[in-house]
Amino acid sequence: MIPLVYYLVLASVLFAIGAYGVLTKRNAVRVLMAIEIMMNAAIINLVAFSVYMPYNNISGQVFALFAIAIAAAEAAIGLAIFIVIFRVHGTIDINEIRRLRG
Amino acid sequence: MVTYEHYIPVVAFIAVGILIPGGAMIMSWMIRTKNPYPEKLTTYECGEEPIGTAQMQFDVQYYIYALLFVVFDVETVFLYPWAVVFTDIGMIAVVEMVIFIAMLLVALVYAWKKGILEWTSLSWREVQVKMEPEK
Amino acid sequence: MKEVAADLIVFFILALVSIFAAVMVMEAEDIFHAALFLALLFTVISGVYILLLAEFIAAIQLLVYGGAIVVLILFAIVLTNRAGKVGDQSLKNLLMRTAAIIGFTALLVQPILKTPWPQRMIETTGLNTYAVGYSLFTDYVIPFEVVSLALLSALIGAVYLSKREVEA
Repeated sequence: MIPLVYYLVLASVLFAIGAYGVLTKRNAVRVLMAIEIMMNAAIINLVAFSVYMPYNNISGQVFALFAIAIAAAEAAIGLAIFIVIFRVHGTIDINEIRRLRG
Repeated sequence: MVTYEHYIPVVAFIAVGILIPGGAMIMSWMIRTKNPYPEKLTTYECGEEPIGTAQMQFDVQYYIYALLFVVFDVETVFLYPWAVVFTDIGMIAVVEMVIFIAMLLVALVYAWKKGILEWTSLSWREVQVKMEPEK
Repeated sequence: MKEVAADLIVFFILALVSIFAAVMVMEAEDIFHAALFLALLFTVISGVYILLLAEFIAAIQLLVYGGAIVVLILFAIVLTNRAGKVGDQSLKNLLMRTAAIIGFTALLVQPILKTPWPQRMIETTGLNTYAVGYSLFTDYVIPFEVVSLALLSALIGAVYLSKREVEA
């Protein structure tokens, strides 16, 4: 039997790596990947709590389903924005985009 | 007591799936002769001379297709549990799913009206013109 | 007792592979390789859901994250430039980055370790997919329809953005 703490610690480590990527990476697509890692960490928490909490609560898994669907929509629109920015400015480097804004 | 016995075939399947291709590649790496020369190291493109690099710019139309795939993939995600439970919930579940699919059909119709689904061969011709070597 | 050890071993393998994949997503020099490591990470996390006996979420993780989102990211990479600047690779910088991640993890883990959590999984009867579906179509109808609105707006927005590019 795996204690709940193990899942929470795994989710924390993944969240920390994702947060590090969001703060330090310069390629916008890689920042989006980091955000997806953070969302995955959150979804692991949702599912783990739904399985371990003292009453059988399936709501955690239903919300994990919603979170995954919303993550797909978010990735679709975010990457479309990056592609348009790349077509207009010729770069998706976050620091350079900030400079271009003027 | 929680058991995972019914996942043993899955684990065996993953193990075989890693071992056979991995083993084949390691075996051929050990047995094969190594005699690289520049001609051999070029990209194989059906016997044609490769033009440009593989990291060329692709057309944005490909992204639209990926996008439509994602949206209807997510729709499938909700169809699975619906197919399992709708006999027990009854008509109300059917109505809910009809509304859901109608929403996504609006998206499909919008994309269709915008002419996104039509593959404009013009841009492909432009790419070909760009790729032709200068004489 | 033998079984208990087996699922712990599987958990540690999955955890180590997922952390390795997450680090490689951040540190791989070619962003295309980073996207492939992201696919590995999503697949391994689906294994974690199977350990949690959430088969339905595991299947959805593979279908949406491992399939759709990775495909979108790969398409976005070939549509933008792949050449990225290689950051500072010195040993001092590497140590600082590692320390930053470990420090943030410690910050997150500290309250988790202080809290008494339930030790056992809840015994479930019946199909996981059925339970999720029943809850979804009875208790969570409104969020379910809102998701369809979110998908609609995402598709219209993305089509609008890309369409202007095709015309231009």
